[in-house]
Amino acid sequence: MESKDKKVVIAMSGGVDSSLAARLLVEQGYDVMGVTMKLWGYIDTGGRPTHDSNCCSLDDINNAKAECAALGIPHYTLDMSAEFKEIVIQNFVSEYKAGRTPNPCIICNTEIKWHALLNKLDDLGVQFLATGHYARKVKHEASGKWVVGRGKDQTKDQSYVLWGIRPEELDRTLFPLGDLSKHEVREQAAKADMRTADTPESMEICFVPDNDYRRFLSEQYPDVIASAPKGDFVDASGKIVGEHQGIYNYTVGQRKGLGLATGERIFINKIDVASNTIHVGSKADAEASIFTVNSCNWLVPEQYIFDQKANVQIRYNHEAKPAMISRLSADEVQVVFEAPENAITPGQSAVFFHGDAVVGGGIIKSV
Amino acid sequence: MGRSETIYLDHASGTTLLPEVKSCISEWLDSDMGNPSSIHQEGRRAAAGLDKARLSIAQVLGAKPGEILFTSGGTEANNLAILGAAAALKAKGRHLITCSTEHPSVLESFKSLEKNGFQVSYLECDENGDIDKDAFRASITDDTILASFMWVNNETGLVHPVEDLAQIARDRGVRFHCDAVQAFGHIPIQVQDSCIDSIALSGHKLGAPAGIGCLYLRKGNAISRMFFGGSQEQNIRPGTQNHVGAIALSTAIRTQADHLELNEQKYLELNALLQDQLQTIPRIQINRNGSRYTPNILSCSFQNIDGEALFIRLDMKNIAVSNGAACSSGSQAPSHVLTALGFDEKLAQASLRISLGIQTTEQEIDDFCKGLRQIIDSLYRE
Repeated sequence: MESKDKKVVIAMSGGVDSSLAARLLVEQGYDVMGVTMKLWGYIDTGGRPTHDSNCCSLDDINNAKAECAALGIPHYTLDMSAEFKEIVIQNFVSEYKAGRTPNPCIICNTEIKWHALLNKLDDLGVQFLATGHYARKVKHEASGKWVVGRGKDQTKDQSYVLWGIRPEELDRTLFPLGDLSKHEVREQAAKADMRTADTPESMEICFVPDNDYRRFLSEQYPDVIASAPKGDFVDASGKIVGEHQGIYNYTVGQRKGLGLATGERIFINKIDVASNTIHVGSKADAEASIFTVNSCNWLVPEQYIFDQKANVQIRYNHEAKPAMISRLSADEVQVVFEAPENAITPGQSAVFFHGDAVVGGGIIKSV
Repeated sequence: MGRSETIYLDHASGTTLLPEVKSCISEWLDSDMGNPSSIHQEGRRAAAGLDKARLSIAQVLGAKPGEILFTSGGTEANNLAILGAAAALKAKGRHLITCSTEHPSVLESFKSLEKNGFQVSYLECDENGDIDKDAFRASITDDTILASFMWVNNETGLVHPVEDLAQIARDRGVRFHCDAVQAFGHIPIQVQDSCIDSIALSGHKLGAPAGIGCLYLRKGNAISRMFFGGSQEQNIRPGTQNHVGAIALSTAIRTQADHLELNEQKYLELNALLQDQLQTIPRIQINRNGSRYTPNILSCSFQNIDGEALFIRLDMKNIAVSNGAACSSGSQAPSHVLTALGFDEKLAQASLRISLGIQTTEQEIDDFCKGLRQIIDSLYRE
């Protein structure tokens, strides 16, 4: 129990999940310290929240501190806002600029919560990192490797956003909530009289607290907006059907807010940055079977992945579907779904599952 | 992480209650908490205690009792002296002078005045923090009404020549305020022959509890009140007086003044031991090249080290020292004092303020240096 190997840092947002995770680790006998990463400030993001309930606000940091004090463990705030701005926000902005739809939470998990924070843990002499994600570590049967697995609570499962954890970093990771449902977490938190027991769910992107990314981009990155001129909406026949307001305003699969009166339900199915054109059409026009993925991370050796089937999840709320995975080049993979899928969106992540086990993932490049 | 006995070298943030303070306030804690403004016996008893405390502080400083105003601490005393003087003197002029390495309670007061039509000159200091008297003299204009300089810098221990600066101010008819929160107990302070017009002191730096402080305000120097609702403290600082705190403060002030020479000898010996041992730690930079320092504060820095990791490691070893001002979220903001001396942010973050108390032992200094060396060794290895 006294050994250095049992030291754990729990990354705490100030919400109920990570707070209960901290409690469980203490109960399991780990030598625990709580850490809250300060990732951004309202001064950098705007959004003027009417209430103070988002990650990185003072209230949340104070909640995390108070939960740690109640457990008798230390709590530290780490200022990672420089890394966050440089990596996560820059990626967010450049992806929208490139007509893609980013998932900043995934970049943040991969590069900040795991990579940068584990580097800090090295400086602290701490081996393990724990988070309040609803995910597990499971053994991938064929390869015998430990990988990220779906959380027991299928409705809260967060394995989709964890594909980027490098294998050597996963070895140092603990998911104390993997076998619990959200209901059980709240119940246990209430039973322990934890102040965070009733904290609301956070659904939005943390640094866009008002959930208006267009407002965020136009306030914080006016140069990006200035370089995104209006252009044409084009239908399947190549006919110009309207004018778009700059490609960063749109995402593949979007139906609302297009300002097109065509008399039928019309969707965005492709954003072409080179010609500043947005292709629209029926829902069927937006379906596709084949797409490519890059920036991949593999949790099992490649011989267990390529030229084999996997279930592929293409959005946070998408049910993984069977597809064939093959290698196109050193950094590009092709995915072929057995049946066409709607709105496969460049910039989003494609995550490859064998059963409940995440074997790898990457960013959707083109459809 | 396991909690063993703390090596506490953060006395400039807050120091242990003096035994003299503990024993003098314990009798008051058991009594009815009369309000010093009440006419009944318990009120009179509280008022008598408060008056005695005021008289005692005045005697120590060489002041008159009416020149001592009790406040909630050093921050309020600095705010009151600066904001109150600016408001009282604004018909005479609108120009104010201070220095970029002052405590936030001073700097932020001036910043708020800047938003209200005053002009502030923030004197630059040299790379050691020293202020140039000629630069101060040159910055005074006919419009200057107030100057404020700290006696001892809270992060580096650097002593400013405030008596000389105050003389310069007096010669030009400029009011002079001094934040002496870190000076008292280390530098003899006598106001009779001084040109300083107001002085801020704080209890918890001296061995009294936090929540009590005082402002010495030389007679004839009007300031405007900032709070409203009562005639306490010369009609300048309303609110029921904290007489138990005032008694604690006066006891701490008297005890510190009585033992100043003896304490200072001890601090000098501990400081020499500390510097000797620190100098053997690889790549350490001791920030002590200015003109004069108090021996109880020592600042040192480490190149190319993550300051956050350094402080967490120290806490994991149960070593209490401090960095710059901790920001409200608890993360370490780079010290404005060290950045004003030209430190880059990373070096400022990887800087320690070690501050000794009269309880500090040689053993603590040995243990601290041993612990710090281990941490620095492992951070450089990693």
